[in-house]
Amino acid sequence: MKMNLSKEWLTKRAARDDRAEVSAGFFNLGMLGGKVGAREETSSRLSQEQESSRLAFGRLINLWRRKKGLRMDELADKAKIDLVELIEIERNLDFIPEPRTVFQLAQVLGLSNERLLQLSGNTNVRDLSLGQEAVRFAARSESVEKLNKNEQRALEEFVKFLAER
Amino acid sequence: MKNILLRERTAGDIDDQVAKVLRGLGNPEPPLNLDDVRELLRLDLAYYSSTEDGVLKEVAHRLRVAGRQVLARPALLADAIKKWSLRALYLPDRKRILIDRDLPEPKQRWGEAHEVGHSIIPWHEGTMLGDNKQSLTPSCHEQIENEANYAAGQLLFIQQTFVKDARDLVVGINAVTTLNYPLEVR
Repeated sequence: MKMNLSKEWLTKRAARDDRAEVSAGFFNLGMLGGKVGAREETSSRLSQEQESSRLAFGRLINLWRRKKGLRMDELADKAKIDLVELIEIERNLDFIPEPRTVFQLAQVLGLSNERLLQLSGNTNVRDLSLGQEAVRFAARSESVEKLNKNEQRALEEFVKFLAER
Repeated sequence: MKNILLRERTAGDIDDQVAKVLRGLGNPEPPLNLDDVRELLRLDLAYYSSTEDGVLKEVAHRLRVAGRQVLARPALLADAIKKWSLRALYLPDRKRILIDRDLPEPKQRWGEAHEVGHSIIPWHEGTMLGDNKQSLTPSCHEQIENEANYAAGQLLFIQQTFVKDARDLVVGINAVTTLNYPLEVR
């Protein structure tokens, strides 16, 4: 098949197609002073502030769930999120939940989505007071209670298992 | 931008939102008229030009971002658009979509559908940040852009309509020209 297209036409079309991405969501005018290419960075390492916030986020979800007497699967059902995500949130510091997951949890907990986005490591923290409060909360919420029988037995069995290896 | 596979629940929620829009329009025949979509969602559309400073600054002048007037430094928004090569924007508090009029028309249609996507995904509202206290991490930004792209695809392809139409046609150039409606400019 013969293509009946002139070189000028093709050049013109190519010039118009600038491969620009459609984007939105970057209304942080404060970032103008920062690195423009920051959005391309894909650092897997969390900053110290993010780590503290993320720790506090997991602890918050864990304590709230236990206060309400909910099992993990019950809270996951209530918030319409995957159980595996909830387990990661409570136990894995490196796991950053998706914005939808944070939104669903914010609805169930009745808390501000924006604050939880920050706490969960989805936004870069500029509100230092929240970061400091998050560290304080994470430290204070660390349980000093003695282990109950179940926990003690589970720990002993696990230590025994590790010793055998 | 990397393609991220959306979780089933995430894609499901977006499918539901798109289905609600299509139902609201009486399950339209292709091509989807984005003017009707904006009317249904009460979204406003405006154009700017990334190549003509005057137009961009004029648009920026009249903007309020997250309730705050940008008037004090309107050039900031213009600079942001240029630096990040933004071709389309969504301002949630004004329910306004801004499109770069220098984009080729089919891309304007995609850009508009993408911004409609942001407007109908409930958890995006908190991510369209309007202040300088916090900014999205690159991975969070990538995630929400992918979600808006998915919504745009679902809208323009009218969910399963495209698949059904494609299955009804014999593979060939006729099928290609018949199925061009997702990016068809009206």
